[in-house]
Amino acid sequence: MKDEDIIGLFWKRDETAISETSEKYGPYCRKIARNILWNEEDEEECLNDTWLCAWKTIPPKKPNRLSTYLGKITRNLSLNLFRKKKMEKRGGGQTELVLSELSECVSSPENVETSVEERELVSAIEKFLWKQPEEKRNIFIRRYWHLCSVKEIAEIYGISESKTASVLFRMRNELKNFLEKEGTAL
Amino acid sequence: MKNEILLDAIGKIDEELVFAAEKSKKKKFPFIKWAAAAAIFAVIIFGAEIKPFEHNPLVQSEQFIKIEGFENVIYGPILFEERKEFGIIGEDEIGLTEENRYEITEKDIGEFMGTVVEGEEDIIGSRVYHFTKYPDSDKICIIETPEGFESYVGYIPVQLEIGESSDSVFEIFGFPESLEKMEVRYSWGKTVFEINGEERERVFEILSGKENLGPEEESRRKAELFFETYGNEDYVFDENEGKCVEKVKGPVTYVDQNGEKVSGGSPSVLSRKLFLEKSCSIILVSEDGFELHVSYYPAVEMFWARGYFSLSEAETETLNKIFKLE
Repeated sequence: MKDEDIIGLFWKRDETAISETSEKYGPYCRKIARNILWNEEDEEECLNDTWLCAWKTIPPKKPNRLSTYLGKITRNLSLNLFRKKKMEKRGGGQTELVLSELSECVSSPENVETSVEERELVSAIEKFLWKQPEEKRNIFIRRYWHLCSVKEIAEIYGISESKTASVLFRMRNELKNFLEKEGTAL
Repeated sequence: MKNEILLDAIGKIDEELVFAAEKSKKKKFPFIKWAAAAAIFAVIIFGAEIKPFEHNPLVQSEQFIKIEGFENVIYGPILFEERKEFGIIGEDEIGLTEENRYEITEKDIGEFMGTVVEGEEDIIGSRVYHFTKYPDSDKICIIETPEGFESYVGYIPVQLEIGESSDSVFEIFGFPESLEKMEVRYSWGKTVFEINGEERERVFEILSGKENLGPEEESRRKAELFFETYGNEDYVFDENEGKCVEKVKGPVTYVDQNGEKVSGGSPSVLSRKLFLEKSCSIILVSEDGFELHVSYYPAVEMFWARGYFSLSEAETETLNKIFKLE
């Protein structure tokens, strides 16, 4: 079923919207949840909550891209669950590694105080990414938006793991410098 | 921690960036580039048609509006499939090409409907008109936006609270007085047949006056159905969680109550198949063009109409006959 048909079902408050969404985007959203949580039970929970959240938000929303709209919900829910589980000393996947890598992009990771507005930060990151060559930009997004493993990214782009790691390392440094220059450093 | 702030901020970047990354893969070999060049050459030589990428620039998030006098309805920019539904473009069209955009002209502007009272700042106060082609429909309308005339389509987003009666949702749609059409669909988009006369009245009588039992009741019944069919508790209703949970992961093999072997899915997948057995959608269309979709689930003797309602065995039998599910 096409995305517009599915959105139409949500708008008509037709319950089959959920089964159609789950059938079409279940594997896609599960992959995102898996990268973050690496626990089947938790993934299932996040997926069910994703469909519920879509049901509650469409309408009034009419997402331009249903896939990324759902992916974004799954990512947020999975990260929230990850944080909860971390408090309970559980959880796995790529999240710890990704967080430790992102610490390189901030001045002092332990300090919570920040004067930067989130909106400004998001816009600076977007600006940084649009300036990057396409492949580098996509590698960065696969790693830090989808939380894919370095091995998986290397396979997708047909490059070695060490090259992928080195691209990411350089981009983190560049991002840090860029954020400082833009006055949005954390 | 700041790294978490950064991770959250990355999660909010432009969806186009994320979508582009998802579509990207390793670079093609040179001969593929050549093949692409050859294809373009072929287009130039033989005049083959290239369909533009299907993307609707009008459909943006949170573009819903409300119109004075239609407080129960929310309107959003018309979707591509809705253009087909209203006959603005042909059934076989694919992609929002220039000709499929349908430019609204003076002859399409019908009677004045009201003004926009809710929505983004620049659209509030805009005048709303009926579509000449559909003078009686409040579902489709034309709005005079600052950018020009745009078609909008409305939906009634009512959702019932637990304990509320199914009559509440029917009242909002103006049923049964405004009920113009009742259709049965076995799968999305395909109308199987219409229900008229006494049968229509009987259906309406059965669906009316029921109490919304909420989603937990539906889940409870799913788990009961699973137990009745397979005689095990691999898929049960968890009272604390308020939902069904799987006790066993991965593909399972069971023998059902008829002695038949069933395999190839997780308990939740098998449960879903049982739940959807003989299910169908009933579409109630009002005189002013609004649709109420009712999902009918005879396997658990329930129906859904913005709430979760129970049916008796006799009522289920009657509906099965009317909906030709036997």
